[in-house]
Amino acid sequence: MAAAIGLCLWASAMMPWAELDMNVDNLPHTFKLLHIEPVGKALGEIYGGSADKHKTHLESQKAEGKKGEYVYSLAIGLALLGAAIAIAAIGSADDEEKMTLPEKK
Amino acid sequence: MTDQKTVITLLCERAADVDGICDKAGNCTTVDGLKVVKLPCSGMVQPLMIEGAFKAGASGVIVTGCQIGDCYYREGNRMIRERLLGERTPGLKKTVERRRVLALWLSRLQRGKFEAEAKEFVAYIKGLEPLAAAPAAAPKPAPAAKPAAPAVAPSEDKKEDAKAAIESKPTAETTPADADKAAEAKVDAATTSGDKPAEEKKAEESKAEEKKD
Amino acid sequence: MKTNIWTQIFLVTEDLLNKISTSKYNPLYYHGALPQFIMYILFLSGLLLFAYYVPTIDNAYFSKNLVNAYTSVAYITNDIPFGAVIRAVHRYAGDAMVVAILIHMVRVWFTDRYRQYRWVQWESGIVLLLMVLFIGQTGYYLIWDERSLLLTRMTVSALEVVPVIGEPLRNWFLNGRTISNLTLSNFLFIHIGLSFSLLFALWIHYVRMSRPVITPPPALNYILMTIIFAVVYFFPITATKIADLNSQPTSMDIDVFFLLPYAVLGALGTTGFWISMILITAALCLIPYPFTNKKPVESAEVVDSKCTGCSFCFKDCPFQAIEMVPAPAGSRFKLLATVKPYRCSGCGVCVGACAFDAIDLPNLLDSDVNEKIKQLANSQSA
Ligand code: HEM
Ligand code: SF4
Ligand code: SF4
Repeated sequence: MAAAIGLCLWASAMMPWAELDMNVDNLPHTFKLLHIEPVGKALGEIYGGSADKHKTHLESQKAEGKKGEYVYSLAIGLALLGAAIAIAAIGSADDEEKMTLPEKK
Repeated sequence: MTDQKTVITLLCERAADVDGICDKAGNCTTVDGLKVVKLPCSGMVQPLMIEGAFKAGASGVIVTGCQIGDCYYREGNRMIRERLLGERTPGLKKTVERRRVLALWLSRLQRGKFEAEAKEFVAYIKGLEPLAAAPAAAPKPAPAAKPAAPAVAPSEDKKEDAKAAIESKPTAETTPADADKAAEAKVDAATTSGDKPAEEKKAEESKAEEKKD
Repeated sequence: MKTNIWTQIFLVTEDLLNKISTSKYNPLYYHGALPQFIMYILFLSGLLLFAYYVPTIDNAYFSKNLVNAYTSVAYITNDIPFGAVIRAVHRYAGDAMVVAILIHMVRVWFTDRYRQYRWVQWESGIVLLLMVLFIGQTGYYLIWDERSLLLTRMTVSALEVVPVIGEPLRNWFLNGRTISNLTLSNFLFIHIGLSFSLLFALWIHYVRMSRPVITPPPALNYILMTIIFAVVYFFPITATKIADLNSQPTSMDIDVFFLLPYAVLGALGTTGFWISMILITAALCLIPYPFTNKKPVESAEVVDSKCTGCSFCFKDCPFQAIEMVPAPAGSRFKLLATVKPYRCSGCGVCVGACAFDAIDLPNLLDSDVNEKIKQLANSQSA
């Protein structure tokens, strides 16, 4: 459960980093306007290490377009997976093979 | 008769496979006092059948259908499930003791679980005080003889029933284990207060019958 | 109840999935809803692609650079934000649709949910399957790379041999006698038009089912999307070569989900292709009609004199087999329930719904059930 939520959050935060094409050196203006450049840099620190792995994989697969977008796709997939596991863990509690009846008032 | 504890199972023939543990007549050979009536689908179970079982002297009823989501006839088990919970008309009469009814949703392969749950339930029922209000001789309403009733009165009555059930849902969490303790307490109460509850029940029942006719 | 090896396989997998995910999230219990959900993914991603797609084969806009179907697809892939990803999602969701439909089909078949009163669902399902497969193929024409050209030529060769209507068929398909600027607009029309016609076919598919289960729980939808997004990452769509009308490509990659018929066409030639396609379709359509051992369903019967017209049975019947008609003159009630025997499954849900004992299964009267209950309740315990 905690792991699932963790996965969801970790992958969600990965999405903006992937959308920046895995590169936080030149943050877009929005970051400056909102004064959240440190957030951008922090993302770079957390996820930056995997950038090369993603790039080599995608290049070996001859992926077209920006590579970051594929990583984004992976991130949103993982976020959804985490969410799904968490939801199912909560939801399956009221699954029933055995059902007792509510007492009448 | 009242000391004899029979539990009737109304079973979908596609749900948990009990062929190995039942004789042809419907007596379960491994769980004492468990009888099985097979139906093509648990959706065929009428609340009237459950009431009839109690009137005929049964002390508990188990409704068994397939896993929710897997009804061969698409929706049968959902229908009876909602009827039992009072979310769909027709539902059970107020007079039926809810703790004496158990529903199991088990796939064909889950005979073991069926047996275990049934055993537990039979034991639980054996611990309850006998159903005083239901002498075996009580005349079962003969369906064929009953004239058709006006639709409005009973259905309205039932809607209220359903509403009440929905409102009472939050209290539904009691498991047989919890209920067991409650039951013990009740036995004490019953021995001191005589069979007043039974009389009340009868009065209510006859009122309901009147309304119908 | 007897079970054969096939139903047993499903029972065991089902049980396993119930243990892992509980019945509330068992994907097998949403076998029909999952393809329906994938269809929405396809509609949405398709709409995004449609916004930039140009259905011609040469310069439609008289600009300096070539703008045609192929270059517009390349533009989507390389320049539109997330274009490549959306393209891949659209393609892989299409593949997922076929997989989901096949699981759905095999499940209803192996668990005996396809015959008799369900024949409309089965036959309309075959139509849906053929439509989906054809829509997928037209999707591959639209890219207008070498493979599209080869597929188009192969299709033309197959259409031309159809007796009598072969030539009109070809002219319809190409939107003219030869491949021209108008051809791709026809392909796009077929691709999108048939996609929306799916909704009509689905209406027929559902018409005999009350409350069809068409929305999987969100958790399952998410997992499905995870799979699609992961495939997009691990197997991105790669660049192909633009179609050149003056050359004849001879080989191509086969998408096993949509392009298998072309492998058949390549292997068997046009006549063999048509014969095998017709045989396979006919066999699929005939599956619900085994010629032996057909136990007819005994449909429910209303006891007219007892029915109060309360409509409970009508609401609860899972197969839309009950119709409420005006009660005959002289009745105290407004409505009367009637059973359409050809739709009835004999499930008895209506019996459970009737508080007036007014509807019965002829082979298992509820009075008999009540009698049995009474007798068992009274008998000495064994
Ligand atoms: C676009 C593809 C399809 C979609 C979206 C779809 C969807 C559905 C849905 C939602 C149901 C209702 C399930 C329920 O609520 O019980 C259903 C039932 C059914 N489908 Fe499909 N279906 C598709 C294709 C097919 C195909 C290809 C076949 C078989 C050839 C098929 C055969 C059936 C049958 C026999 C039923 C009745 C099952 C039952 O009554 O339990 N369907 N379908
Ligand atoms: S539930 Fe019974 S009384 Fe009501 S309409 Fe159906 S058959 Fe008639
Ligand atoms: S038995 Fe009753 S509920 Fe079942 S399909 Fe027939 S009419 Fe409908």
